[in-house]
Formats: sequence, structure tokens, C-alpha cells
Amino acid sequence: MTERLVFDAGVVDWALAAAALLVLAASLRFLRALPWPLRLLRACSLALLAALLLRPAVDTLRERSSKPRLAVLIDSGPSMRALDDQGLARLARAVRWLKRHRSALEARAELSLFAAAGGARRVGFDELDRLESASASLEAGAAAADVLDSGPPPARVLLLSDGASDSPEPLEGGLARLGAPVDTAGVGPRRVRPALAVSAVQAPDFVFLHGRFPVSASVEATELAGARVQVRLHKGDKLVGSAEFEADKPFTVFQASFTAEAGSLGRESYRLSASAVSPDGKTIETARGLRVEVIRQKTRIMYLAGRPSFEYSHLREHLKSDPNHELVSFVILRNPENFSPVPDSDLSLIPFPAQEIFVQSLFQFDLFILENFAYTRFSLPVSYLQSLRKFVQEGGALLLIGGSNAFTKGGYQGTALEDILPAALWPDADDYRPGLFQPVVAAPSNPLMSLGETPEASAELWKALPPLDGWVRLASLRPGASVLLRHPSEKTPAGDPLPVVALREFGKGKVMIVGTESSWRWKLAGGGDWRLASFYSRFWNRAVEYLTGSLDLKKVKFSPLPDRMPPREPAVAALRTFDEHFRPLPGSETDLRVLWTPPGAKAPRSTAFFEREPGLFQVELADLAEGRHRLRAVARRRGQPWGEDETEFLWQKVKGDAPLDRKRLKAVAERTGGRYADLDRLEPSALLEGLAPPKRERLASSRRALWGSPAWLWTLCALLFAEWFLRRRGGWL
Amino acid sequence: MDDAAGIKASEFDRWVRSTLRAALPDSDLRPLGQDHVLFKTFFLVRRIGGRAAVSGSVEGVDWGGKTVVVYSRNDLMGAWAKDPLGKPLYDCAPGGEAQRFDAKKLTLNILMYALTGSYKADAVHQPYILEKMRQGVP
Repeated sequence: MTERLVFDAGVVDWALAAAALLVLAASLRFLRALPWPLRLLRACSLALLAALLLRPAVDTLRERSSKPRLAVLIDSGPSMRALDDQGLARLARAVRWLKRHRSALEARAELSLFAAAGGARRVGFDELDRLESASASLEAGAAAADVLDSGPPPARVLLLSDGASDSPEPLEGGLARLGAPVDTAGVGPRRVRPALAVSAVQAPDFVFLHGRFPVSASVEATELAGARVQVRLHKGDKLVGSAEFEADKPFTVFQASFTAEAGSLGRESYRLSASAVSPDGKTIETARGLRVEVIRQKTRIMYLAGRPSFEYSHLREHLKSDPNHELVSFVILRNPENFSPVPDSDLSLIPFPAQEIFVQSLFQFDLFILENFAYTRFSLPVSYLQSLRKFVQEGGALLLIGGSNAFTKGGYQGTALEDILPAALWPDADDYRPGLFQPVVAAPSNPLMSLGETPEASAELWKALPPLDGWVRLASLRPGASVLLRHPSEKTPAGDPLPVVALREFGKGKVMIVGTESSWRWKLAGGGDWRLASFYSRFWNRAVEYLTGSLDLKKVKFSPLPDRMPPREPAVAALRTFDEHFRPLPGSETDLRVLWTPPGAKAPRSTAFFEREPGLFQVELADLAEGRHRLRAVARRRGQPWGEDETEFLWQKVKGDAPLDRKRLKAVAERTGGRYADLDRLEPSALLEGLAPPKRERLASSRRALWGSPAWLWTLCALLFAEWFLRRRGGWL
Repeated sequence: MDDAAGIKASEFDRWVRSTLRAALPDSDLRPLGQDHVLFKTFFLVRRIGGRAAVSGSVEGVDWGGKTVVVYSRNDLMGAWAKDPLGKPLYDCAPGGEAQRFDAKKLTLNILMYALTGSYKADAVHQPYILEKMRQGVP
């Protein structure tokens, strides 16, 4: 044990001591005439005063060794509860390893233990036995911040994990913020089993409708040397592509690339699967889902008119004027039975490309418009109408515009196309009636009809329109169809109001019928009434948007959910409600119920939700069972049904055979300058090699403040008294 | 519009021009070029017919991207006029029946233009029309 003189003086004290010494130096000139004992006494007094101002103290020093800080992060995310081949949870294995090697670790390092789920929480050895895996995955960035906040920066970090965090942030990036090497210990099955894993799936987030896009993936084959690995890409049940590889090493990584085509708007789900037969004859399979958002680049429209008409002229011009439309149109200028008095070279006619329209290029279009087109007149094969039906079934949109050659008279009764129309056709071939009529809005709250700023303004606009000319008689409305406009007096044979504009969803597509070819009269009305100047274009824009899926008419809508929800609780879903003008509809104005059907449940049950912001609701589901869950939202407004929507998702707990992601853990170690080892093979000595040796350092165990002793005051007084006494005696006062 | 006078600088012609200037001040009445879609909406019109041959062209006013006024000074309707027995009421001079037929073809093309707009200007028609135009050249 040693001692050390120290001074506790602050800046002010040092300044005062310096001042005292300066006074001493300055006064020496005046003291020169005095005898030396007096000069000595004065100098001693001032020196003593300066020394006291510096607050001298004595430290008692004790030697000890300083160990480097080792931060141990124990991944306690959901995957760590998985049982491995020893029947022990991974978290329990990590804890067991730590307890077993506690003394060896503590001998060389100052241990700081953290349970890492989401962020990192400081734990002691006594808490380890009670540690349970949480529902949140390890989030590397948050965990690193928590470690740094807990004390001095660690000299080294040990991460005990299976690397199966589903956090979007890369582990290596987050942990690199610790600024220290991170050694990673893989907690997982001891024995390396034959396995396949689909990793690093790459596909564009957004693709254009009908566009082709690449999908690629890395497939890792472990302990499958000599086996053939089949990689397949499916869209639903349909096989998009497949590839086959041969594993030639114990660990082989294949790159599989496919080209897919976006067939319908919205989210498309794909499944990338890999399978192989292991050396012991077992089939090993793995799969991973991916989703792409399909958006529209341009609306591709095919417009086929049976004869020239003002309807065709105006609607074609309107559709063509929109740069977002890609319009291909054909109008029959001469029917097959018509005689031509001039040679063909004097006519601008071209052959009717029926096969190209109905077969070859049909599925490239988003919307097919048939206006007053008599199908029978051209002796077209039945397969063309079947093709058109399939086009709708697979997501295309069909708009039939009436006229004297359109529906029954056009030969559509009893065909494959009639089934998909919103209304059954009139049994009599003479289904067209000329004459003016003022249509009545049958669904004023439908967004397709809400063409004014307010419901009242919309109603005024509809009333101000000029009458339409001629209508097609229809038999009866089909189930699920909606009537938007009806005839003011005409009835169907069943006595219902005659639909003039009606729509229906069929398969994945939509069908709309407009039973008159005189909507162009609405366009001309703009010349006489400024309020109607853009009515025609607004109506047809809405119609095209609705038919092509750009206008979603649902007033209650769940936000898209991933196919497979992350294995954590609560599972969260968002729901939006809209009013008739598609503005957010607050919860105070609607009676909303959310029904949850867990897997295997016979009946749905109401579940709670809260309104995050007006019109946006959050549903949180806990105590989830494994399997497919269904959510249904039903809204009523002013006592009337307002809308409903359904969604579903798959929820699964972490599987016991979740792979140990060595690659990920190795990446963490490589990035930070640490080392990787499987937990079973990790020896503390190897880990501790990377730590700096303990430093020998002397620490003050106690401090005695010398300046606090009254002896100093007495000494100073004695010096000053002695000086006074000598001066008095020598007559130097 | 069709000037039935059959003479240059008729009173109707003066009225047409002054009225169009007042009604559509931003658009001029101009002769339509031979490549105008009006001349290929149904027939491939190479000559301008009519009861008279006052002008070798048809005039028009473009507005909003399309020709909204078509004006003929050759009395197109005069070439169509028939008596109760179905015989033409007026001779077509100087071209005779060929000139009458050209007038009928142009009239039908004007109607087609009203009913189909610029349909025949679509790219899909161009190769066919160009080929036929080549075939039709003597």
C-alpha cells in the first residue's frame, strides 16, 4: 500500500496560490533591508499560505487489475423458444452455456448480460433462469443503443443467437454501431442436417400490369451433395417456371432466375419453392412467398363499334384525348351484306381483324368496349365470345353499349357472354326502343354517380341533363348486379324498373352495360349549361376507372396484409372507412363491427379496435392460434348497410425446426471483426483470447485532506507571531 | 355548310366568312389539305366534286383538335337533288356524272367524319390506305 500527495485545488485556488507567490516575490524588495530571519519567516508564511490554498491531500493507493468489459447479448426473440435436437429450448441452451462458463468468463472480463428482444435489457445471472423468449425479435440497432447507454463501451461483445430475427434491419449493420468486435455463437441444432433454404429472394416491389419482371432467389443446399434440387416459382396454383440444379458440395448455393408476368392489378402473390431428395431418401422441401404490387402504366382499351355513330365519335375522341389511355378502336363501316359501287382501291376500308381482336390480342387489353355490335352479322365463331367471357373472368373489363344492333338483336342471347351481363336479355329480338327519355339515378350514393361536389349538387346535375335517345329493353337483373340509372317508366317483364346503366362483377373482372348509345347528348349539353361542361368526361372517366380497377368503390376496406403475418403478437390490421365522396368517414358517424374468425372456429366473434385517426381503425389480435385467420368488417351508417370488407392471413408460431442462420451470424462477426462458432463448439478460452489482458492499475482507496487540519493555522500563526516578536525586539516595527 | 350558288364570291359565301369570323374568332377558315382524314373516312377522295366546280378544295375550321366546320362552295347537295322520278335535278358541270359521283363520295365522307372522327387517321389503317392510294394512282 502506498500513498500519494495530491492537490484538490480548483482553478480559483490555483489562481489565489499564484497570487500569494507573486505577493511574496514583490515583497522581497521591501524586505531586503530586514535581517534574514525576518525575511525567512515572511517567506515561510506566504509559502505556507499558498500551499494551503492548493488544498493538499494524501491518497492511500491500492493496486488492482482492471478487466475489459464484455457485453453478452442473449437473443430472447420468439425463435429462441424453439426446441432443438436435444429437446431443449435455444434460449435455455444459451443460458446453460453462460452459467457453465460463468467463472471462466468473469475471471477474464467484466461481464454485462443483456436479454435482447426488440432492444436490450440488462439482466443478472440470478435472472437468467427466469428468462423467457419474448414476442419481439432482436432489433440490432435498438439493442446496440441500449448497450451503449448502460455503461462504458464494451471492449468486446458476445451474441448468443440463432440468427433467425425477422427484424427488417440487418443484424450486422445494427451491431456494428457498438464499435467493438462482436463474437457470435450460433444456438441451434448440433448436428448439421440435410436442409434447403430459400434466401435472398429478389423481385421488384412494383411492376406494370401485363409487364414481365424478373424473380431471382438464392437457394442454399446443406448436406445434399449429389442431390438434384428442383426450384419452382408458382403464382397460385399456376407454375410460372422451374429450374433444376445439382448440389456438388456439402454446402451449395444456387441462383435461380425466373420471369413472371403481372396479370392483374393489385397485389400478386408468388411462391418460390425448392425440393430435393436427401441421401437418406427423405424429401426435403422449403418455400418462401413473395408479393409484388401491380400497377397500371396505361389503360389499354379496345373499342369495337358495330357502326359509325355520334356515340362512337364522341366517346372515341374522349378516350383518345386522355394520355393515360392507349386506345385501339375499330368501327364497322360496311357490313358484309352491303354492296360497294366502287372498286376496293377507292375505299379506305380494311379487313375486320376479328381473330386478332378476339383471340390474339384480347388479353393485352384492360377494357373491351362493344358498342352496338351485332355478333351474328359477321358469323363469328362461338369461341370468340367464350374468349371474351374468359377475358372478364380473368380480370378484364367489358363495357357493352346499347343500340339497335346490340343485345338480343346483336345475337348475344343464349351465348357465353349473356351469362356474365348484369341483366338477362330481352327474349324478343326487337329489344330496342327509339325515343327520348330522362333517366333516373337509381344509386345516387354510388361514386360512379356522385359527379357533383355534394350529393345535392350531383342530383341537380343529373336533373339538368338533356334526355337520352333510345334504350334497350332488358329482362331481369342478375344477382349481385347494381343498377345505377333506370328508365323513368319502362319496366322489365318482372315489373322492376328497366336498367339503363348497370354493372356487375364476374370472376375477377367487371361488366357494365349502358342501354343507350346517346350519352353524347350529355356532352353537347355543356354548350347550354356551364355546370354540365365536364359532366360527360367525368362520367366516362369514372366508368373507365371503375371498370379497370382504378376506382375502388369499397367504402370499408382493410389495408393489404402480408400473406403470412410475422410470428409475433399482437397481429395488427388496419381498416379504413369512407363516405360517399370517398373522404375518411370518422367512427362517430358509422357503426363499425370487426368480426374475427380464428382457425377452426365455427362462428366469428367481435373483436376490439380503436380509431387511430378519423376513418382509420387499428385492429390488434392476441392469443393467436396457428392457421388461417379471417377478419370481416361491417359498417352501417344512418341505420343502413354502408359497406363491408374481408381479409385473411396465415399466422404460425416459430417452428422448432427453424434453421440456424449461420450465414447471418458469420456476417455479423466478419463485419465487426469478431469470430463465429456454434455454441456447442465455443470454448470460453477461444472467446477470451480476443480480449485485451487485464490492466494493473492503482486506485485511491482513501484520501486524507491535509489542509483541513488546524495545525496549519497554528503554524501560520506561530510564524507570524515569531516575526512580530523579532521585529518588536529589534525595533523593526 | 354548302354554298348552293355555284358561283365565286356569292352573297352566301360572304355571309359564311363573316359569320365564322364572329363565331370562332380564334380559328380561320382554311382549305383542308389532301392528307386530311376527311378525304379517307370511307372513300379515298381524290377530287372534289359538286354540282359546280367553284373550288378545287374544301375549306374547314379546326377547333379543339378536330375540324368542326366543313364548307364546300361546289353545291354538294345540288349534286344529290333528284326529281320525283329519281332523275338528277341539275347537271354537274363541267365534269358530268363523274363529278356528281365525286360529290356523293365527299358528302358521305363528311358524314362519316362526323360519326367516326379521326378514326381513319389511326396508325392501324395507314399501311392499308397508303397501299390503296398507290393502287389508285393512274
